Amino acid sequence: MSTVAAAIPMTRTDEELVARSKTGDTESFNQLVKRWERPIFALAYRTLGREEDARDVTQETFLRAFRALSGFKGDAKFSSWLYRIALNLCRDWMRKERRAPVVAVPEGVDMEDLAAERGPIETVEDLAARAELGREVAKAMEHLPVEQRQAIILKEYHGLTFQEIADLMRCPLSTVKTRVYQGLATLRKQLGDQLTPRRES
Amino acid sequence: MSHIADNHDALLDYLYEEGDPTERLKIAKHLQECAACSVAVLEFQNVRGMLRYWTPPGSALGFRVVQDSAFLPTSIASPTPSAAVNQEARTGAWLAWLPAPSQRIPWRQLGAAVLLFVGGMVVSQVTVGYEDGRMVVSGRSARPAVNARASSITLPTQAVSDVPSSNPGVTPQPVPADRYPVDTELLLQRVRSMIDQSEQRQQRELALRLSQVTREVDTQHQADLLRIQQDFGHQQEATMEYLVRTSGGAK
Repeated sequence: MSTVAAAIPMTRTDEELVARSKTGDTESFNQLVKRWERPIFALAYRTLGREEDARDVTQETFLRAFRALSGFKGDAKFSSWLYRIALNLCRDWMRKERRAPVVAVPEGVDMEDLAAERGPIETVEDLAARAELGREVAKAMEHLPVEQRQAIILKEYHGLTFQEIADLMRCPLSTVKTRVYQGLATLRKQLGDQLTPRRES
Repeated sequence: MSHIADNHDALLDYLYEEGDPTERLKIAKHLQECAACSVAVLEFQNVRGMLRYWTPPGSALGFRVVQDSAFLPTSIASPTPSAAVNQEARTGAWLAWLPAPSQRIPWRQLGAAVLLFVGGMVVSQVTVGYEDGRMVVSGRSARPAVNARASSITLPTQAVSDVPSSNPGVTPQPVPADRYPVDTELLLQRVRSMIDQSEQRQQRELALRLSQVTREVDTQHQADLLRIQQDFGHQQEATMEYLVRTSGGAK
């Protein structure tokens, strides 16, 4: 391999990085962490509703993954395996804390984050409206049973197929579809006030 | 075809573009004819649209795993220290989570590394300089060098990290010119492949977006038609009532 080619940062697949990590290459595992920490954090945050808890769960997810890496046979995708660890940790976390997910209203939607995502013609009023809508969605999601909430989160924000979600949650495909449908139907009722003006506009 | 609003599986497959494409096509045709189902689909699409506004905070994470027990006593930390991490430190595990290097600097290790490096340079009498835009590493061993040029290692600047570890007492040999061949063909192939993949991905996204927009316009059109029909029906009823009233009054 030439030096120039070696100097180009190669994008290795998860499978390659996992294989290297298993041989003790910590840096390869760190690349996996860098690649997946944001999605895992987002999953934990939307499930638990609190930034600090989500951070702890994210950290614990990768810690457990690292320790159990030798037992990972590669039957499923590495990301699916990570998601399953994170989902189990979230469930345990909620059970341990004996509490429903919280909605971090003041810090749940950061105006700076929104500003970074905004389009060129968005005004401050638009940003505020988006933040308000985000809070409304978070509140509505809070009222869903955890299974429905997690199914919708995995479907909407992580783009998993229904079958992948069924494998992750260890339940039949029909159960996943029922959870997503019931969750969306409940959200439609909860968010009815916000939906009406949008439809009319 | 039965109403999609009553068939949850079909509704979800259509919304998320999963399942049999033929079935989805049938549903799309049905939606063009059935206003009630169009409204139901539109409402679910609006819910999905609202879900996009719920974004997690963009806080810095930067977790890293290190396998160095020397870090453990004082420096186990995450970007935001937590009870879980402190517990990890107390148990004395060999595995530690550290923030990204930009957030935390191990001063003791850094100092030791600098001292070691300087000491090594002094012992091996290595000098580092630049000539013609290239880094030149010159070493003087105890054995006098016949030719000063022969005892220097000249490397391209970008290959500094590939400098082999020096062995005191052995005169460094010049590195052959073909030690770092520039495999431009491989590089070009890789760039071309990346560009192709990017273009294909963009085309797929564009096609997906176009189909979504078309579908949204169709469903909105159906909903508008339904509302117009309802309004028209109300108007007709009102007109009829008016006519009945006025004709009755005329009698």
